[in-house]
Amino acid sequence: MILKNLWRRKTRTLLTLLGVAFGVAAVVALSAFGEGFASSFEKMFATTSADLTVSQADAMMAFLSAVDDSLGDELRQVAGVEEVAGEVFGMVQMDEAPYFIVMGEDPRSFTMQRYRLISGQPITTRKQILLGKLAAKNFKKEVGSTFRLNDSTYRVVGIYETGVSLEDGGAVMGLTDAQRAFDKEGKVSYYSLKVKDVRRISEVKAAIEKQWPTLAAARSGEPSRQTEMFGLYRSFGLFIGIFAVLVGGLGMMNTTLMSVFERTREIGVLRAVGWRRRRVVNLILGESLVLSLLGGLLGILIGIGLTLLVRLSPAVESLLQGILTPTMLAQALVIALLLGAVGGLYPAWRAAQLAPVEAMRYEGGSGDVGRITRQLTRWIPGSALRNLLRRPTRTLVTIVGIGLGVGFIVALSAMSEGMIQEFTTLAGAGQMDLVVQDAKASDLSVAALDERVADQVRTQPGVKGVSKMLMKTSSAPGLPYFLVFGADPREDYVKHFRIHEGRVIEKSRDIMIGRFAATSLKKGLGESIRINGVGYQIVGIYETGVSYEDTGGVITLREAQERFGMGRKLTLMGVQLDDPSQAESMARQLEAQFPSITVSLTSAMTQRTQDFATMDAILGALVALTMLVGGVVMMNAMLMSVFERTQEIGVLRAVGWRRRRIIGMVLVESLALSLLSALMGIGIGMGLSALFTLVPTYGTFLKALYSPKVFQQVAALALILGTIGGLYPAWRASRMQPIEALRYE
Amino acid sequence: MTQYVVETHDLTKIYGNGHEVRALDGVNLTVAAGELVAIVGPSGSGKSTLLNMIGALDRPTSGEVVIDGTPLSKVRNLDQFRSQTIGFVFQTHNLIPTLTGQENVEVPMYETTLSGSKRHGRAQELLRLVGLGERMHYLPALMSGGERQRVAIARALANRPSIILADELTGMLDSRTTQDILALLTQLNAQQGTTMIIVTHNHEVARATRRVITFRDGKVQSDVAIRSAYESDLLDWKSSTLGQAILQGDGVPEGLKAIVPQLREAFDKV
Ligand SMILES: Nc1ncnc2c1ncn2[C@@H]1O[C@H](COP(=O)(O)OP(=O)(O)O)[C@@H](O)[C@H]1O
Ligand SMILES: [Mg+2]
Repeated sequence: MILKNLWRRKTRTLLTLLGVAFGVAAVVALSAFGEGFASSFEKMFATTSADLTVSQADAMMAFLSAVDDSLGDELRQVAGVEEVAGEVFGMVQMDEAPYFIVMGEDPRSFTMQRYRLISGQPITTRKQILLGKLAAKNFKKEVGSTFRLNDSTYRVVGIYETGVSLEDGGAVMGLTDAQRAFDKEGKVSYYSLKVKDVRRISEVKAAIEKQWPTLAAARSGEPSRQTEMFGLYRSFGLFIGIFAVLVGGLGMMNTTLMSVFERTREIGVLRAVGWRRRRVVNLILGESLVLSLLGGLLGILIGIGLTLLVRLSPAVESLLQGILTPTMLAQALVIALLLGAVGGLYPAWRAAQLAPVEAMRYEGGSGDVGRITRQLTRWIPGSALRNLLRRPTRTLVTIVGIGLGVGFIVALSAMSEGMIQEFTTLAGAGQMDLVVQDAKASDLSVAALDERVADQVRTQPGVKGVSKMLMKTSSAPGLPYFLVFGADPREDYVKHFRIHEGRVIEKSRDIMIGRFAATSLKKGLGESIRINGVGYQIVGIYETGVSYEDTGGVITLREAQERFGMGRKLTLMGVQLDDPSQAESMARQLEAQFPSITVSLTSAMTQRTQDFATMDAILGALVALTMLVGGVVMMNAMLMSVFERTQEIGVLRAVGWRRRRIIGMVLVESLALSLLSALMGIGIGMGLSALFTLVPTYGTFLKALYSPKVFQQVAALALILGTIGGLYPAWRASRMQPIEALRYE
Repeated sequence: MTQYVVETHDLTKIYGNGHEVRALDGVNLTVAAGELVAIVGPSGSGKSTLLNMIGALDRPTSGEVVIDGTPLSKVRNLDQFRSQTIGFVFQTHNLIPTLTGQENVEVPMYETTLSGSKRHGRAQELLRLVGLGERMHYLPALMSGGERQRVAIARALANRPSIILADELTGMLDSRTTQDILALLTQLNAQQGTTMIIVTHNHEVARATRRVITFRDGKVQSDVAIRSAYESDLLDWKSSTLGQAILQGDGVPEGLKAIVPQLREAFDKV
């Protein structure tokens, strides 16, 4: 009986299935990618033959760490340590791979064993490089080819495979080559250690951390701040997926509700012949569960398909290798069933509430216009809105469903805009005209701009002044993300941190901290604060209005360079010009002259920063997902509305309306629906943003900016949704033959 | 030569494939300008099918419908033709429930070049003509059955059609209202000279017209010009089950058997 009922309205059932399936597919694919990315990253550190990894204590991720390479010999002296290998971790932005990971290894060290050669030779001398299997495919290189990286040319001597996609998509070079390539002369990112007796790892760890308070020794696979970050990646996929499922679920509720309305009479008969409410509830709930189960299964298939599809592109594969676990699939099914239960419960309740006698008298409702329209005709202009109000529940459910999707997009793009704005203010500190960045860094956190370039830029004609800037993430007790800025006290940039109390930094142990930081840390002027194991005295408290800055602190540039292993290196550089109107031509001129930098107008800087490109990509994926799921939900609602009104459409055709006019009518309705959804979405989005900022610690960094761009995006989305959602139903409506439509029961 | 508004030539419509239904079987009819014609006949005899053919809602299997001298098979744009030449009134599902009376009357005018204000004006004028001046801004749901049919008639008149086709328009109305609607139609026919073809089950409706065409099994059984109420009653009787029984001489009640020949003679005259 359940299957027969679903079969009765094939198109609707199919669309509902698709809506649920896209949602579930999103959950499956996104969590598979999240899992793949996170576990690939973790494996890089966990599956080594090393027992301990020694890195800078406060570095958020191992690859942001920097340790003196003279430390290696001292570590070897620690009791219980058998072998020590310094490693350099580099990340480069390339056209073929946005995050290309290059490891620098000592060719003789034990860490080299991890790279199993599938062709060629190991590294023996300088300027040689090993490519991962996926990288070789991606860059179309083989043993003997040359490989250009950061303006140097290397010879590919071997191809390896580790089974970890990030490694197989990356490369390995000699330690000294890597130190040069990544501006880490005299430094390594971290040390891998082998101990003599595995049972005594904890002792070794304790001994190292005691001797060097600024270092952290972590067992391979041990939970660390890094793992915490990966937890975020994993939950991110699930988070986006859940939103897709919500939208699909509301679509599902719509379908079940419609099928209850349609069968009001039938339900009346069932009740009249003695069915109890319970049985009616079971019937309706059963339909919705079957539907969601089928949708869930279909979604899992689509999700797996997506995961496999990605393998076709080597560039993406090295970064995103979906890992499907049985738990994930089970999770998806549970979500789908939950959806079915939630989507079916209200309609089932409605069905059970029907009084048998009244239900049997029910006229199918096609002539009914709903209470609201009847009473408010005068105030509701146009038949589109009146038609939507005819089924207020369905319209509301559709609007809320799509509104949720749009809401997420509004919230995320407002945050992203807010972040971009903050970032631009931060980079444009002190009214800079141009921003200079490291051309080869894929991420601001790994940028290393040569300070000598800054000094050369300063002497160029037309340049009024430059500001050197170093920016590093650290942590302080009570603040998990504490941004440390390095500024030269003699340059204009330092004035950007407007002093509220106290004075500007002068000496290497001076620090000024932002207002928020001061509040969170409960510290005041004259007190001291420890960062990366070093104590600083608070000499000033500033406020800039940029949350990144106000939750961080500023120390002298020299001190910051030393503390973060960035000797004579910068994150960013601001340039002030004699004639700001010449900014664009100056930018091009500087880039031509110094190949190692990219120069952007302050306002355009974020466009050239990979972090923001990644964020844009995520937003893009979300928009695509909303269009898919929302489009299906929308189409379903419009299709139901058109079918219900078959006879009316027949009348319109009979009195001479052309197909075109019918199409126009349905499209206007569908656009009205999507517009209302978009408005709802903007409301939901603003609410969500407000909620996000309440999240402890992370919330401080989030600031929503509702720029016209956000609203333009939403308007475009509404237009597209309305069109895809309305086009097919409109076409169906226009194909109805007048007499058949008039005969339609 | 007289200009007929409607001519049908050997009009045939066959429904279904395999299990065939001859809904119309070689129908030849002519309706002159300004005529008010009733079509009667048992259910399933092809009345609605005929109206659909004349109204260009459907194409015949064979034969031809000629409206105002134009063969429908030569008309390329049937939608436009319908909107300009035909006015429909149906039994049910007649008005768009989300539109007010006035808006419903304006619906056919969208396919013309009339401006918005002209449309409003004409709709109001028509609604006053059918006697629905005050209630034109109500939704159909808030109107009585008679009022709804008045709106439907006004809508049928919207584009000044050559013919009005009404399929059982009084089927759902009580007899009092039926009288009123009939009076309205006769009055409109007389005043405006609009040709009307009305399909009906209702004797009173048939009696009010001047010509009654009886259908049976897709064929015209009789086509009579009505001169008196007596003739009209006779016609009703003839098309009833009893009348058919008398004509076939089969299943006639005992009490009537004696006067069967006289009755047959009377039936033959109409
Ligand atoms: N679309 C259709 N498909 C199949 N048979 C039809 C269709 N429309 C009408 N018929 C059949 O054609 C015959 C005439 O129907 P109709 O013209 O509606 O009769 P009336 O209006 O006189 O009651 C009936 O037997 C009916 O079942
Ligand atoms: Mg009929």
